[in-house]
Amino acid sequence: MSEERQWSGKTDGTLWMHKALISSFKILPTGLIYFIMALVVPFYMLINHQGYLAIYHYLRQRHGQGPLKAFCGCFFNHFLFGASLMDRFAAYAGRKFRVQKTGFDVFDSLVEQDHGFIMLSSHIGNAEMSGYMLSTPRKRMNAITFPEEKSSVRSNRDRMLETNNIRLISADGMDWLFTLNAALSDGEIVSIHADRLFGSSKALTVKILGAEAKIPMGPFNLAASRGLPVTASFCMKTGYKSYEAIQYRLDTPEMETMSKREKMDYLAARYAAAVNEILGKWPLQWYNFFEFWD
Amino acid sequence: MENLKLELKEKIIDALNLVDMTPADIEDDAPLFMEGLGLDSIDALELMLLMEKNYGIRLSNPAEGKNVFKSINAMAEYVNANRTK
Repeated sequence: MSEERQWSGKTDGTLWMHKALISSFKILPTGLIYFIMALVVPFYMLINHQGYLAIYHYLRQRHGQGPLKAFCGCFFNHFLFGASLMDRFAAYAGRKFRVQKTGFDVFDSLVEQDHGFIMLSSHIGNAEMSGYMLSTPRKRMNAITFPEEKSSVRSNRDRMLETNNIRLISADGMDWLFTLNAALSDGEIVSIHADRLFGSSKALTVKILGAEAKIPMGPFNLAASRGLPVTASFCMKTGYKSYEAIQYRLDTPEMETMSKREKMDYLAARYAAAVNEILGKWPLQWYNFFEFWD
Repeated sequence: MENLKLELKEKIIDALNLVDMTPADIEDDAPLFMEGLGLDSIDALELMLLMEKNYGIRLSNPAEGKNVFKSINAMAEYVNANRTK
């Protein structure tokens, strides 16, 4: 993936804005905050022009939408993204959300086993919310994060996730690799995004929504090298205060006779198939605000 | 020690799928990351797995690990001193 297609690793917003949002959710109804946010979305689309265009192209080219529908879709996409961010602050402020679990028999059975496993997430839906709503007391989950998150976000997130036995590992320098290695050796869960290149240019090519795209080789290499189970995890906003958390098991018995490269390609193809299924059902919850496809 | 260095080079080439390289192409004191061999984070995890599977060495201390992976010489010295297999 070329440099301009790599994600910068930064979140928007200043520290005081984040703190103000958390305070707001303690006193204001969620609907009012959503309404205020909806008024801001068009301006954000104008300011973040490249991001808006990336979503417009995604809706037009990948979902075959006409210009007007794609334009409206951009608004709803940005609104839903904003709502998912607001839900994060609502969670920090103590608000609760309903969560429906799908495919969790696989996840629950992997948690009960002694070995670790890898959980692949993506910038689709609201992966962070699943961390707040689900807990794995028996097995610690280690979520790999980008180092440039704002401190108010991280400190609140750390607090909430700690109660759910989730540790954040910041992908900064090389130290995190040793922590990750130890976590897997100790039979813990490692959750890592598999849809953006960051820190390494090595990639696998898969077909997502009918077109070739590059996804990072790292997570698949990790799974293939260590022979660990792999799931793909999604958490989709289904309503005002509700989410659906979905798990797909990606590794299968057929992999036993495959070479390492074949295993990587196989897992990547199954991850892409899961992404395709999710985006077919929730096309507007795609949050990669850059030109994702080659 | 020379045999161990050769063995490490062969295992690195195999683990990282460096198809166009031979052990003679890897200098003993050249950096493994960034410059020299130019390995990255994915490769680092592979090297950790290589150490664990082949030599019974589990690297979980970043301060220690970064020095181990400085060069083939550094890796060989560490393996020689700490291997359990």
